[in-house]
Amino acid sequence: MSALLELKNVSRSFGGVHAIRNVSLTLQPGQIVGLIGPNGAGKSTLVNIITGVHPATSGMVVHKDERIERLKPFQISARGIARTFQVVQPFPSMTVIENVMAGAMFAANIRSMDEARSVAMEHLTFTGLAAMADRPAEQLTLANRKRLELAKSLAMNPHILMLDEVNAGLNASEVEQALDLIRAIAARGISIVIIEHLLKVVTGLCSRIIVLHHGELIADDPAADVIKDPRVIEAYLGSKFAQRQMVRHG
Amino acid sequence: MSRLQLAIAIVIALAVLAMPLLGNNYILRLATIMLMYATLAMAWNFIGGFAGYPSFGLAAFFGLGAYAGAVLQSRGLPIPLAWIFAAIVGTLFALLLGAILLRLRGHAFAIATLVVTEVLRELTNGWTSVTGGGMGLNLPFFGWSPSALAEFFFYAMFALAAVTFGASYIVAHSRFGFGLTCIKQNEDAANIVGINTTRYKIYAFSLSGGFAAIAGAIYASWTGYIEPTDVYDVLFSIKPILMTLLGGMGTLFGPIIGAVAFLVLDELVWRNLLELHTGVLGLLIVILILFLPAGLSSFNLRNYWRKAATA
Repeated sequence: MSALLELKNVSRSFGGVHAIRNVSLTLQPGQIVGLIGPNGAGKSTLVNIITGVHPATSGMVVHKDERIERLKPFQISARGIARTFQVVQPFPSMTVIENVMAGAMFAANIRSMDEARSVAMEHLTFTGLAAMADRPAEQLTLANRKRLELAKSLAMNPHILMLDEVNAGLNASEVEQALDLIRAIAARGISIVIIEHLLKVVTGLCSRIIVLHHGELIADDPAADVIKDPRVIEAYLGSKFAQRQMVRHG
Repeated sequence: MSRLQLAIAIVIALAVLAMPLLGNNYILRLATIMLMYATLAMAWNFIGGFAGYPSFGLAAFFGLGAYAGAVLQSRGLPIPLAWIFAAIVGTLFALLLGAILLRLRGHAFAIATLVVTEVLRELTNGWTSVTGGGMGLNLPFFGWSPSALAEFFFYAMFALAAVTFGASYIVAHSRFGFGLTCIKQNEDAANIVGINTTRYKIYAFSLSGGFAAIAGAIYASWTGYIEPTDVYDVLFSIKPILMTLLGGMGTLFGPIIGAVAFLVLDELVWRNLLELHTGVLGLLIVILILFLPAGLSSFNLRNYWRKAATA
């Protein structure tokens, strides 16, 4: 099976800060992958590299045999790579449906406004926002704004969807609803990368987990192995705790 | 545009078209100025209103168009050719300038565009062999009667305003206009949903520059004499912004309503309070914008009464 997306020795620095160091990984079609790591590990930077927001300082990003590391964000989204932002990025005074239409009209290149509107409505129904279609986006609650981000990204007709902390700031029941939505999206055959700093969320959802720490990839394994990995425990809880875990598990 | 709006627009357009029948050159002159400013405000609205980029450089395109047309006309070329040439020069200059300046955002963009007018004025001043420098440039005299001239330039400005409105209408109802609104609302998100933001902004800026340049060329032919301080006047940058703000930014009718309202106020205040004129005008505009921040075109009598009734 050829990889859908492949990162080869990707690095990115901001001035003297190495946000991402020499990261290589591949993404296969139809996978749900978790991308975890403590705050500041470089998770969002990695997504920004892939989507062209902050291009890699060195290394290659290959998507379907095409190098995309020098492309602009609008060119990358036209290739079916969509993302949501950790801090939601709506078009505040446009209506909810217009926000979603934007994704359909540009990234998915639907030329007719009427068609874009009906496509947008489908995604609003899917994400449970249909009743709020004609409200300005700025009036939505945080949970609904996150859903709007999802609907907008789906309207871009992606085959890779990267979700940057879609659960941050949501309460327990809202998180459950969001996870159901993500499962439903995966069921459509879209490859998903979930960025989280909560281990609990990803272990229930992802078969494979990638762990970043200080900008370096420290683990890329099945979920069950990752949570027992001493390096991961150390990254999250400190070396003392990791040693204690090691002793207990022999 | 609803059917009612369309009907009102057509009635007003017909009424304006019939103005020369009044045979009053003062009114005709005022109407020609209004049409010119309506065009400038609509031209500014492409980049400032739709895309949300506050350009302070409209005078640069107005002046450039005036000189491009005037130089050609003074060399004996016919008027239509001179105007078309001005439009091309204005559009191309905006394309070039946009490719450089539209990398800036917010205040930096505003200041950069402000400087462009000054640079062009100095260049025009210096290039004496072609522009006449500080002495200005005389355009060929038509030999028509004053009223025939007034009518001709009235119709010319009307046609230009109508075409500019048509272009605004098409933009507002197109994918391109939708993209510009997205850019105004959140440029990073616009890029992420697949909009080529740089190209869209450059196109909007070019539309703005092209229409301002023709307005400048018609103005030059109309007045018969131009000089750098006249056509590169910073007020040609500021007034269209004020008018659009007054009428409603990023709307179709806002710039026209704003231009007419501004000039009517200007004329009334000037006639009655000659000495305090600019002060009073400024105060009136501040009050209007304070109470109607979205512009005069947002004023809805029904809502107003509802509010008044429930207050």
